[in-house]
Amino acid sequence: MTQRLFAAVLAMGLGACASTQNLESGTVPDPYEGFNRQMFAFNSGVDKYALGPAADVYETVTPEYGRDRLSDFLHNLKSPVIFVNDVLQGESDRASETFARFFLNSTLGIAGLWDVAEYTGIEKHNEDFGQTLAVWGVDSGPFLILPLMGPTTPRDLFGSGVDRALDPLVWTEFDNNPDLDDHIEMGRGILGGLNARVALDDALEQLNAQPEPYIALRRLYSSQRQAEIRNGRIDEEDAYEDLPDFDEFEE
Amino acid sequence: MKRYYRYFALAGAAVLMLAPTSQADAKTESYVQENASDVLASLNDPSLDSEERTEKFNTYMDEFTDMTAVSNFAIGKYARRFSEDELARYRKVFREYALAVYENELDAYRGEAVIVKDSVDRSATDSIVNTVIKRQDGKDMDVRWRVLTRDGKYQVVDVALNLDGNLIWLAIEQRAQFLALLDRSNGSAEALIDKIESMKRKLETEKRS
Repeated sequence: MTQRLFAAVLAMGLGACASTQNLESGTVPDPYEGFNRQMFAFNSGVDKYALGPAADVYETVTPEYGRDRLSDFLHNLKSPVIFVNDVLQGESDRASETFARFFLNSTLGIAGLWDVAEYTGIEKHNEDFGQTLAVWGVDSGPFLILPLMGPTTPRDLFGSGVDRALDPLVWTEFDNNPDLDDHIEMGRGILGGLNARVALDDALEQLNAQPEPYIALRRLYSSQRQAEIRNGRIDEEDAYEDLPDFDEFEE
Repeated sequence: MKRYYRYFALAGAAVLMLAPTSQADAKTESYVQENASDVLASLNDPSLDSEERTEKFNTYMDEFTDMTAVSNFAIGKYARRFSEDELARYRKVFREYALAVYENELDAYRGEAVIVKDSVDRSATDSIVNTVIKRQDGKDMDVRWRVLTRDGKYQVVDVALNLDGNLIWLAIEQRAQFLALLDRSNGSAEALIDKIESMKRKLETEKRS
């Protein structure tokens, strides 16, 4: 259940720019909680009455196999941005993996429709400029929930703008059809959003079943981002330093 | 703390000082090994039907975990503000809910065996035991057990799941949400009990038959 709930953090980004060691209650800076809760309610409404039903229709008319291919294709398209961020973080091994994955998947995987690199043992990972800024020591700033975009922080929001600027597709122009790049970008956004929403349907249900979905989202978004910044590595020396005392409220 | 370790290292006493804090005693580890294995075995016993499985699982979990400590922890300061009746009703529904959560969670992993990797002592009575739950599908789970020792008796008070480097402590996450709900409902025990009841009912519908 927790894994599914964990995945819901991404889902509440409503397919937008979402991509984040254990934090004790109250350590996530959230000075705009009132605003954030309103945006959370708004996004939940959009999901309930628009995105969710659209995703249901999308799921009905598309086979799972097709959605998996689209997911692989879209992740492959992100490879140049992931590669640049790997390099900016000084992660040469991960940069090499991203390069190898992009090469293999774009060729043998037929434009990225199949993640053949995974079969060779080169697992996928994500990087973004928000994580790069964190590695460079930039503070996240307060927790925010934005309409339609979902959970973020000023650092991650700025990072997503830079990632967009780094994306080759944004700069590509087609001589014969000047609007084609915009159509591709729009298609990528819509299909990517629907694909992500279908994949996270169960996770969203679990999130909404929590006693305080907003608190669950805030904590999981924050801790997940921290884990992503550490590239999934746990600092075992400090992992248990901040655990709370269990006997504090014993009778 | 690290500053003190450095001091003792310089004094040539590092080995003596670090050894007790870097590894929990073998008894704590074997406690987790044996009890967690029993819990998993109760979920994997094909001779049991759903009711029998839940009953056996709950019996093991009641022995294995300190449910009173966990339930108090989950409501923090409100443990002292609830009336005796409210506290009793809350603890009852919390126990049922927590057992349902753990049963569904552990059952979902289809774990076959619990392997103790190592352990860390936070204090003389507070240890973390790191384990791997081996699964048939090869997707082994990194699970960490927080064990408190009271009057010579070991009991688990929290469990952490390592999800891609994100350690999720179940009781801590529960506490954050319970406290937020209580803060927003002027400390209403009824609101919390009703919410836990509804979550428990939902979990029961999701249980493996």
